Amino acid sequence: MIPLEFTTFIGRFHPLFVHLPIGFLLLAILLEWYEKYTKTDSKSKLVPYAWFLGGISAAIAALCGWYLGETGLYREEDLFVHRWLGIALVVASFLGWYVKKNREKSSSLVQNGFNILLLGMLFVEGHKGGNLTHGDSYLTEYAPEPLQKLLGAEVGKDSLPEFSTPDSVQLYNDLVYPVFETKCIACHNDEVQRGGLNMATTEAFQVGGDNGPIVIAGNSLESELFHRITLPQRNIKFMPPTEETLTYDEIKVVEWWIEQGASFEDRIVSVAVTETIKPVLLRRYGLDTSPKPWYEMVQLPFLDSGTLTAIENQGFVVKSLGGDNPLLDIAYSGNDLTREQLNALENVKEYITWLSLAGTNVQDEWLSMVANFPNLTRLQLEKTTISDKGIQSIKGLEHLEALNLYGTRVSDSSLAIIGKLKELQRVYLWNTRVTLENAKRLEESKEGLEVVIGENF
Amino acid sequence: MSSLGTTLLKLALELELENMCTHHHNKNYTRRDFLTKTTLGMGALSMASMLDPIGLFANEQPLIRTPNDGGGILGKPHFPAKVKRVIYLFQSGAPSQLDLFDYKPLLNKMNGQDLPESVQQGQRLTGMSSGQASLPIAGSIFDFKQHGDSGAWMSDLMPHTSKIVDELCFIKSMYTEAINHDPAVTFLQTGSQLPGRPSIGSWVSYGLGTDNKNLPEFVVLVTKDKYGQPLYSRSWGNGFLPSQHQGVQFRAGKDPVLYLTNPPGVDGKSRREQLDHLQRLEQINHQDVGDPEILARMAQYEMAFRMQTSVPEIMDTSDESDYIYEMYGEDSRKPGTFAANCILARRLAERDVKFIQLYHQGWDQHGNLPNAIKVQCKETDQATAALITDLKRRGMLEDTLVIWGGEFGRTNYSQGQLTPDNFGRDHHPKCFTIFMAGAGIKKGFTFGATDDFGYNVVQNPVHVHDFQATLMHLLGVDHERLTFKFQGRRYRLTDVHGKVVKDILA
Repeated sequence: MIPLEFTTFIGRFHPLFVHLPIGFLLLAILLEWYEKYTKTDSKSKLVPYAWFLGGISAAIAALCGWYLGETGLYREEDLFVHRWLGIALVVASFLGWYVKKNREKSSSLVQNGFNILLLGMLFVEGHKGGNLTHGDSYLTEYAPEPLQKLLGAEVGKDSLPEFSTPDSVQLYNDLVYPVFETKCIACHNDEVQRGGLNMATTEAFQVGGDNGPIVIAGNSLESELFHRITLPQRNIKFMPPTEETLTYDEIKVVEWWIEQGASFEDRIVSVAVTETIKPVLLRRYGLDTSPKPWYEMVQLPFLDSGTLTAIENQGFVVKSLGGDNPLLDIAYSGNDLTREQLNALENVKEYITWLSLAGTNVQDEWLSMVANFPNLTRLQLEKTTISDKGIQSIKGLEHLEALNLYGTRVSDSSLAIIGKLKELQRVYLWNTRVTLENAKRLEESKEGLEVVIGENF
Repeated sequence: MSSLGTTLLKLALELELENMCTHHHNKNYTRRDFLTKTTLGMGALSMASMLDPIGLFANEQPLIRTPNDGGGILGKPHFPAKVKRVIYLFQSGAPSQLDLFDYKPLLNKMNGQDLPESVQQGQRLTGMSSGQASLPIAGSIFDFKQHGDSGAWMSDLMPHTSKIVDELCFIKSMYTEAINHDPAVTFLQTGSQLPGRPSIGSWVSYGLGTDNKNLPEFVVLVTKDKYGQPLYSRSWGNGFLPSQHQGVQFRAGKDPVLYLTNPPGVDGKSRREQLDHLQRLEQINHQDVGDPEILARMAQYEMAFRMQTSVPEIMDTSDESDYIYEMYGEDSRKPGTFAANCILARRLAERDVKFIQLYHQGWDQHGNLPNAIKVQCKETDQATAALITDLKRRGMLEDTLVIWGGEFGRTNYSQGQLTPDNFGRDHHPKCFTIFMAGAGIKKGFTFGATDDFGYNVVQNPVHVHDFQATLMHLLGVDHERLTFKFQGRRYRLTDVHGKVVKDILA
């Protein structure tokens, strides 16, 4: 351990030395250019001297850097480039020293070529090193948003991780461990192990502290860890003993993790997302665990304007759902709808997710065309003469979530079909021939279906 | 790059030509705008191509012509919207949350005792009660019960609304910055306490445009013969947005929209011809001066012409059945009442008007609260509940949002003398309750909480800007991205604040 610790000690001087070659070499190049600019005849000896200093300091920085890299705290692929470019920089500086010492021997093209080459190397190498230390987003994090976009940075990165979908999020690594890392691991790690507890690695974590394991899977109340973080703060055993106690959300995350089996591998999609943890996930991590509506899951290329205009020319009001969603919200109003017009929608049938034919003269027979719209989630047929016959033909709409039939001629015999629409969540039956009693029965028979018949008042 | 270059060249040429042809100052492009755009634009482009030569043009959004966009500046929403239209039942004067929704039995227990300093914490009071020798705690004299499956607390002042609590989402932790009516109303409506910014409805109209070209996007209905604090029309003003986005007030009576009907002896045909000629003249004027307000005025002439037929159709409620009037309450037969306006609001919503705002004044009960609030509730309770029920059974809550609320709350202590059956309450910006119903939000849900004194928010505070951000979010608009440049700076509804309250979203 001792030799490694000593080299690490040396390695940590890297940030100190690394700035010296930047200064020396930059100064050397600027001095040379200044001479050229002022057209001085005598070539200053300072220029090669500065190159020499640059080379020496670069070598020292490289040596420290080599040891710092050995600590294993850096990403291998980034480190590789930075390390070898650094070595190349040392070599280039000494070559430069030689060239500058014998300036009369080579053309100004070679001279300037060396300058430019070295400037480029300095910039790239410096940037790579900065990224290694501070992270890729350090430079652009606070740049104005348009500039961030220009630089291709990820916009809007917060200190807390924001996950776009819950699918890939690991319960322990992404949610629980970061809590331990900020609040516990300072006193429970490989070096310091208060109470004999090391929480830095999963293996050590499972061993537990002086009194054995600190987590009992599935039982937060019996788990020493949970007990300690939820004691009254004045209790001597309360953890952590610093000002930095766990917040409500953090405690809830830890509790949830223990209750769900305290696994180190589980993704959050494979455990039960309880009602109490949902708002925490949403608030703290921006993780929306509620099921997404179908229209947000369909992926299709955007329609071209020609196709859209063609439908508009048939008298439909066509709207894009918004954002980068390609789906359409289509409506017709008026009493002059024809079968041919409805047929025109066939070309965009995958795109229609909301369709309103409310108040039109739509006929029962025409609904078989509507039944072909695979991604239809909302269908409005209210205030039409649609009857049970029409409803027969839409039973294949497997993603339909809302169906408005108020003010139509549908009756109780449609309820069986409505009840079989798999994803249906709301159906509106006010002012139809459906009886209150049967509507109630339908609602009770199908989980998650709300039947609105308007008996209030 | 080359196409951009040509565009810039063309722009420069056009400007040059324009300057040669006229002596007028074109307000659309200033010299400064031109220089900023060209120099910065080119600089940015070249920098980008140096840094990321491949990526610069690779990730362009696919170009999509927005279908039938209704003329909103955004073309289409930023993301799929849950809400297509809003009915905002604004209760002007600030209803007492402590006597309607926010049940605080501790206040009854401590009735008459002085409000502890530890609760008030030196927060400012209005001049109306700051000089009082004592601030006696006033428990509500109304009976509170839990209602529905959701168990929401409601006082017996709103028996009808109590029946539909399972449709409602209460926010009990609203707070504002203003302590007096006009700044508070202005703040809630425009995001700023100082007048001059556009109202929410104007922003919606500007951003999303219309769904019905025959009616304005933003319609305002004010209950007639209600007094109290003044209600200025700038509450529904367009501020610095083009003026066709201002709210249009429909009044009760013969002339719902003032100056809309043709004068005696002028028929529709000659009106049309007159407008056509006017259009041509204004067109010339616009080419000459370039003032965008000319376009706004032309748009409004045309809208007014179309409204000559669409407005009478809306206002003629003779096709509503008797049971509708019974449902909305006796008042609903009298034009200009809150109840009648609720029926109109539904009719406007059915015709896809985007933002319908009702105002009902008279909630400012500094004294005589128990009696005055009864009158207010009688005027609004039944119609509010009826409107929500009516929208629900028509399936309109699928994409309509109803909001009920005032501009701030009222104090937990009595302004003036506290007697067993009478008291008043002063203005209280630290907490108030609003409720919503409809698309995109949880129902049968209560969000946020105040302390046992009903004085401070203790859980999930919702600032006015947060409420506005959430409202825009429901309409498919990122409140940070709908902006308008005015006097050298980009403005938005929520200024530089506002966080979407995700917890209430369904």
